[in-house]
Amino acid sequence: MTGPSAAPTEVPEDPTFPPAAYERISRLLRGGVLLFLVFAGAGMIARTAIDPNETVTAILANPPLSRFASAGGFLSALAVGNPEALITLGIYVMVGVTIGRVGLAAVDFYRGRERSLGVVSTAVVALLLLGLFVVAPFVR
Amino acid sequence: MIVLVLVVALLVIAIAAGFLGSLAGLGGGVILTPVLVLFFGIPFGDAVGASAVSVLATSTTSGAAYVHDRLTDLRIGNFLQIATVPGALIGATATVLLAPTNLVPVLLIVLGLVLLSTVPGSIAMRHEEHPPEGPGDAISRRLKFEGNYYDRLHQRVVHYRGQNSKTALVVMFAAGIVSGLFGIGSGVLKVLALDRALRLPMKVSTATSNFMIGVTATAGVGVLFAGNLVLPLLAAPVAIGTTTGAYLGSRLLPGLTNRLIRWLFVVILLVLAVETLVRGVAML
Repeated sequence: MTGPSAAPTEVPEDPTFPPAAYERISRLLRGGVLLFLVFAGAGMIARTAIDPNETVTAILANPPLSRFASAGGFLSALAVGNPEALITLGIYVMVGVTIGRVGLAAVDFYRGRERSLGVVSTAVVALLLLGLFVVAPFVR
Repeated sequence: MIVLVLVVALLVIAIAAGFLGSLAGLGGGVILTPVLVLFFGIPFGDAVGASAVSVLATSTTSGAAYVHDRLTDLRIGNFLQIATVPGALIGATATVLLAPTNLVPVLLIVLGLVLLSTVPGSIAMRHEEHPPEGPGDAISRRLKFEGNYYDRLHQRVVHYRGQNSKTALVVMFAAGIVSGLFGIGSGVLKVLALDRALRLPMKVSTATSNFMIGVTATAGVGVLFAGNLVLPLLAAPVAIGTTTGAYLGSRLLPGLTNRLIRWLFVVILLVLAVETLVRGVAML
């Protein structure tokens, strides 16, 4: 049966995931959210300020991805402060942080000699990268 | 509609969705796709893309708090993602391929049915605070799907052990497909797998589900982005709004009894489900 442990207020430490490992992942997530809010917020305000009276139909008809399809195009847009590139950067940060958190867990599993879960987590990272670099270009 | 009005309206709606969803414990993402389609006239695919980004942002925000409190089971979460991620890739690819076709009414009908099927689970939310601990199955014993957490309410450490790992994997694969297809978190399906199949305690189940939702959404966002379905000017206010709303909900009213809010949320869900179904049928 589920019940209290011998030390009722102390959670037994997991050797694979000590409190420091949880804190590391939590900090990564907090940092990612903060960066996303800064980039996406700045981009949203700037984009709205450029032409607040622009119609939504015009925006829907002209998605920016065609300009961001290559890394060079995206970086050029970012360099000139393109607001949509800034929002996109925020989204990339979130995607990177999410892949990073699974990667961090994989490292912790290997360090804790939990090879099976290390392999599973590595496979999840591989699947996410497969989605970004194989499936995504396929649907483009 | 002009951009300024759209951005402000999306921010307000998304803050409300994130706030209510957070208080109801159901997540706000599930109502965003239908709201964007039905009330803002956003094309289905673009609505899915914006909603998926908001799910990613909200999950990351609350995930940071749950991981900090060591409520998230990183073993079980990482293991089940092996099923949700391929599901999300399939679902998002289907959306990219189907959104420009005349099959959008069918997608709307399926979305309406998914929303409808979410209602009973949202009403019941029959979490067992501390389910009885079983012997586990071969996978859960091998991969050590067990852990402890400190229950603040009961002021004691609770031990748990996962069961029925294979069933949970199958449900998670389905949850991944639904997430990718409609840009929603599928939290109800995920909690179903974690609560009913794995028999995890409520708090661990909710925290682990939340952790996984972000990874599943990431898989979908990458594909939707490539399919030109993530429009930055739609995604930004929706994601910023839901993140802000969810943060306010979790910070400002932690002690509020959430029964009334959950009912309000369920009624909204029900109305949106019926509206989405009607719109889909009318477009056939």
